[in-house]
Amino acid sequence: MLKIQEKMSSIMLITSTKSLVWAIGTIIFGLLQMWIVWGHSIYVKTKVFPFEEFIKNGSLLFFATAIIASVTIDYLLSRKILVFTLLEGILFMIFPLVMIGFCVWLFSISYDETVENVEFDLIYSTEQIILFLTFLYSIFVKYHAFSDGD
Amino acid sequence: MSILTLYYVIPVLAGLTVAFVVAALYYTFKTRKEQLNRDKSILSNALFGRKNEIRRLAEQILTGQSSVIVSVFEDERTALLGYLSDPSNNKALYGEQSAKLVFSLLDIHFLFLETDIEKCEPAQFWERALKPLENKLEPNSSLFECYQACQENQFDKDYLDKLMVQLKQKGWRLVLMLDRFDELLGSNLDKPAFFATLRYLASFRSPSSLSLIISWDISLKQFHDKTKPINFKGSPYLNFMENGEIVLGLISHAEVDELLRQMLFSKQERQFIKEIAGRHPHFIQLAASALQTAKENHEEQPLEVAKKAFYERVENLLTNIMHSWDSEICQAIVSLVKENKTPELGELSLLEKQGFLIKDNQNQWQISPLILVEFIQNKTKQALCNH
Repeated sequence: MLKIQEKMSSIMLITSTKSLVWAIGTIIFGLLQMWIVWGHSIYVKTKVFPFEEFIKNGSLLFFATAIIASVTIDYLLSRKILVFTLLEGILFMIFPLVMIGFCVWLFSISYDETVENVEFDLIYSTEQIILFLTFLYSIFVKYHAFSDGD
Repeated sequence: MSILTLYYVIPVLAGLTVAFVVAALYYTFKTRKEQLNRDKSILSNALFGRKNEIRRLAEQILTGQSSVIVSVFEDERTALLGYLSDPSNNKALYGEQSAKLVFSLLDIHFLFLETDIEKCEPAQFWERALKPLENKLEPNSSLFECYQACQENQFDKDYLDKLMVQLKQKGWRLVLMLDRFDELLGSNLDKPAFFATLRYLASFRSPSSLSLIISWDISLKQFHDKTKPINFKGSPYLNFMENGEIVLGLISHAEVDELLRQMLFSKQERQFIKEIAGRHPHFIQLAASALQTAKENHEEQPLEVAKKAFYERVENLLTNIMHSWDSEICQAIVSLVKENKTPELGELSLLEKQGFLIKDNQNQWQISPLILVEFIQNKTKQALCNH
């Protein structure tokens, strides 16, 4: 049994590494334009990186929505067992819907022209949490997708 | 949107993050544990790769037909009968009709342990065989009275027939499963009247209210040959079951790969198991179990150790298998291994169905699995076939 556990651990390591690589790759290529603008602002020192704009115009929320929707749909379509337990229903259906709901709601707030500086800080913090959750969620779903495949 | 709402959202999102992390970790460890347990259940599941046979047998039962299960592996046969008669599987296998099915599983070997092989009378056999039916009958019902009449008349054929007619009228069916049926040969039940009654009850009316499921390690043809001396005229007793003969043979290459893949064996280990165990699930399970034990014990050469352990585990089984074959068949198989002498097919067709004889890439007959070849090579012809 020990060897099997060792093997299971190595499979877990491989699949979690795969899901981490997937998440990092997606962040690099999914937000490539933002990184280019950032790099350009470092190179041309006169320009300031307009991170505030990315927050305000909600482009990071678009990215989060696209990631959550794509990993969830991809996982649900590739799943071999079509029966879901309550926990699986919460994790793979209700949770992504709640997250997407937050993204849509926050986008509608950040799009509001009356948002002032004080509120911007709050929006910024909220967006940070949503992006962090998106990162965790995508790693989690991808881990299980890779585990099922292996 | 008010700033107040946003103030509430941050703690809600923080709470959601914590809840998600806890749920995700719990789910991940739970699935990992299930995965670890899966290999154990695969190794103990005697019915792996027998989905088609189970489906076919269920159909036979639903349509009132009788079947014969042929396998040299007792565990597999018994597990199959147990699965088909298990009340928890009834709904899935037989649907709404399951309420009308009465299962009676009778191991002939145990029947003779309880009674006396020399003295066991047909009435004793029927008493035991109809016990589950008796338990299901409501006292004072017409069926119960019919059963009592049977009992009082020593389960005479005519009374049994009346009982079967009544069962049919009520829409009920008795599924009588007789494990190790070949042990009846040479017993006090090895009489024309007994076999003729069984044949009549199971085949006279179609669809029959008696579905007979016989299991043994011989073929129907062998049974008919053995009962020829007591079958003075007429058709062989169980020839009505010829279409229902189900030989538990090899499983497909894809099923073997799937089984071994689930058990987390490497490519080299999978190849090793396939070579020594062939494509018979029972051998595969034993070989896989031997290899797992060798790996758990951190053996330096796990494959060698596993092979030795597997050989020791199956040695008696292989002896019994070879002893169950007729002497001519046994000698033909030994000649194929020791002298490379091609056997004449015909009598050997059952071995082909069971997967002990397969054709290689050059269309030549070969013995499978490799462990059987080694077993034959290690013994003399006399030791193998003189029985």
